Amino acid sequence: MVALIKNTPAHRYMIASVVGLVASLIVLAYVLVKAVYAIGIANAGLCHDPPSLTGSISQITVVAVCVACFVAGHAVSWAGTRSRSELRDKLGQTAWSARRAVIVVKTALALFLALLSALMALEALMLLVGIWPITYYVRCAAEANTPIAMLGAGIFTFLAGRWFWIPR
Amino acid sequence: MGRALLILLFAEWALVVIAVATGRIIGDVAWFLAAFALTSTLFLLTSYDVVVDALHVATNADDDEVPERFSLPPQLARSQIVKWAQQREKHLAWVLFGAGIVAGHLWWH
Repeated sequence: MVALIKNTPAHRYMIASVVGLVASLIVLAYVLVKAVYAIGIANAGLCHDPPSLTGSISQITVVAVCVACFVAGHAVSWAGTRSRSELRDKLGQTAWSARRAVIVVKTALALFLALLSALMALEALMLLVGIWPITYYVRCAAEANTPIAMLGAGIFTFLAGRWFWIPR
Repeated sequence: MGRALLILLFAEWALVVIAVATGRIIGDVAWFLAAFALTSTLFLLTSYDVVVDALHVATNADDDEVPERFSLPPQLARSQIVKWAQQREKHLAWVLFGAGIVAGHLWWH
């Protein structure tokens, strides 16, 4: 398997990567359209208040699917780094040694942390004043249509696995 | 500098614990506030680092001519636990990510 990956031309990884990304985005768009359509035609609430913690598929199955998708995303990322060695360099070294490159990466990280902080503060505030936090909408989606929610979670974790911790 | 950030982070967590113990906030809110304390402190650290790097680029200054960066206190940096973590950072990131998901799944309702 490792030999096969090493002998595969770099451009094929690029094609596979782009195809995988486009496929993920198409599935994600399908999940969103399906969710919006379900909300549009609903005559009553799609879930309880507060939403149930369980859906039509067991939690352990959902977690297992998400873990599998994350590992799959990481495997794709690992295969990609075989043909792009510069991705394995640490920030501040060789291909990423230019200070401007360091600034771009750190700024992206700062923005990501700012977004996370804002979401955490929003969740705390909404729970404090008794408004549904974002997590309740996720739970509601899982209760209303567990397979679609699981598909969305799977795609999300696949993309997270693709981009988090590029293997060296 | 690094010591100040650690003190700030633990002070924020202590405030959250006190707020829960005195019944001012419920546990669900506390988990998000504790996570907020961590991410916002990391945001502060990263943003400051970006500013120092930007100063470097803008002024072409040497390392000792720009503001000091945040770093771990020397005693902590030399400790066994930090060395142990640094040697295993690649795998620890995965383990902590997984542990965080499981912890959130079990208690973050």
